[in-house]
Amino acid sequence: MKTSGFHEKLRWRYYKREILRRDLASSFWAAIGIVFFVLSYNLVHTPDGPQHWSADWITSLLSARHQSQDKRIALVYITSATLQSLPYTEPVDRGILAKVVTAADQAGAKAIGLDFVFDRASEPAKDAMLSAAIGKARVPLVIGALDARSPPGSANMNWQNDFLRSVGYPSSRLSAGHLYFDERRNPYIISDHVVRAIAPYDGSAAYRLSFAEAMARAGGSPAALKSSQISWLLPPNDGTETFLTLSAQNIIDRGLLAQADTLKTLLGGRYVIIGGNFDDRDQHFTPLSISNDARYPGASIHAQVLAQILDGRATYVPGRLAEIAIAAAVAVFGFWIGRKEIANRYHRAAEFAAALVLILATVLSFLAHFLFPFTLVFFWGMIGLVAGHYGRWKYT
Amino acid sequence: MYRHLQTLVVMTVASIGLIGAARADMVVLESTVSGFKAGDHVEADSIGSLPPGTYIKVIDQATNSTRTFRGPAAADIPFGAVRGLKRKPND
Repeated sequence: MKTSGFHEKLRWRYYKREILRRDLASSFWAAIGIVFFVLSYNLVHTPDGPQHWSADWITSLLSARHQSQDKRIALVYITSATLQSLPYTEPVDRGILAKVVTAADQAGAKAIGLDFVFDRASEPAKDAMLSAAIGKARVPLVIGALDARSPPGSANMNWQNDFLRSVGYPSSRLSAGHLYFDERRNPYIISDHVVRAIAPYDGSAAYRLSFAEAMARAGGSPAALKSSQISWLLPPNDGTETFLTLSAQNIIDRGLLAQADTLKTLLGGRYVIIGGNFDDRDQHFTPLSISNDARYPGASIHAQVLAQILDGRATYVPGRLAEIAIAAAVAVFGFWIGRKEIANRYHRAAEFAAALVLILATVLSFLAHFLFPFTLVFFWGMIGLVAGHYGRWKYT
Repeated sequence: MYRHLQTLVVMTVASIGLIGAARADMVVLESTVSGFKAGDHVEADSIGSLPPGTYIKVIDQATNSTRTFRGPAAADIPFGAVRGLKRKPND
């Protein structure tokens, strides 16, 4: 009996040691999980986290694509070539802007948008030319504007507001929209500076509507922006550009397309966005840059948002809380699968889970315009699976 | 028989003419390629492959749409050649 009691004590000690070992193993894996979680949410371009690259690939491959060029929107760029005979390029020559506005107005545009910042004076005569052209325009006009979202001191808001008032803003014919895009910022690493969304309205900013929303309203469209995430249009199937894109020098003075009839054909009835296309400003990475590092002028991004509004398209992404919930649920599910290790087919289970997630991501993106957090799910599913598999308590 | 042949020949010539007219309806707006200048009427086939880093922007007057033909991406810019980080001559 004594021997049996002794053995029982030893067994109990061994049992306790195993429990301790199991708890330590669990704690270890939990700590690893927490570390990865913190890293993935703070060092890999968060809050969208590590799935940025997969979301961008999905966007660049599965976004909407028209058969031919969009017939509703035209882009007119002021470029370095437009200003080559002038001694300065910033602010953009307002005499030229006045001519482009007048040309688009006379062509019968549906609405004209000026994607420029008007926060300082240029040559008085040219400022007056632009004011006169805006005042005389018969079609609805939208002017790009800045507000408190700009860093203090970076723009002369008083000059901008005076300018807007001087040209008759606000009125039924003249409106303004903010020019801000949304880039993910992270206090721990440098932002990737990719434009994926329109800046949200925080309640204190002076301009609630974005430039593209103001354009849509000015043109009489009742549609509203359904998601701040930009729903991109890929270049059409027929090889043309997404939007009719002209350089200003071709439509003013003695430009190739400056004849009234030609301009009416090209710009009549369209939303005409006039913007700058310069190497040194307002060029942005977008998810469409993923395969070629191309930068896109801000005006073309506004055109994308306008097309999104007119088409009624939207792209949805899970919010931060939803992401955390998805990550937790997938990790727990992976852990459960890993512990179960169905018939020891651990690798088969991992492959199956990866394929399932990939198919789910593709289908949801394509059909529901939902950017499924593929990498996040894959990442956390794998961590759960591995933790479940190697953290199993083998004592019986 | 002769009438059928005549009709066939007329239709063929007219079709070729129409197709040719439609194909030549592209006007060069901008070009960085020698041999193509703004105002030239071109066909897509005549543009062929372009040198690296060049482009020709055209307007298709039949459909009122613009398109840009681009050569392959230019060779990688060596580090330091980015604007604002120009190398000094002795670097």
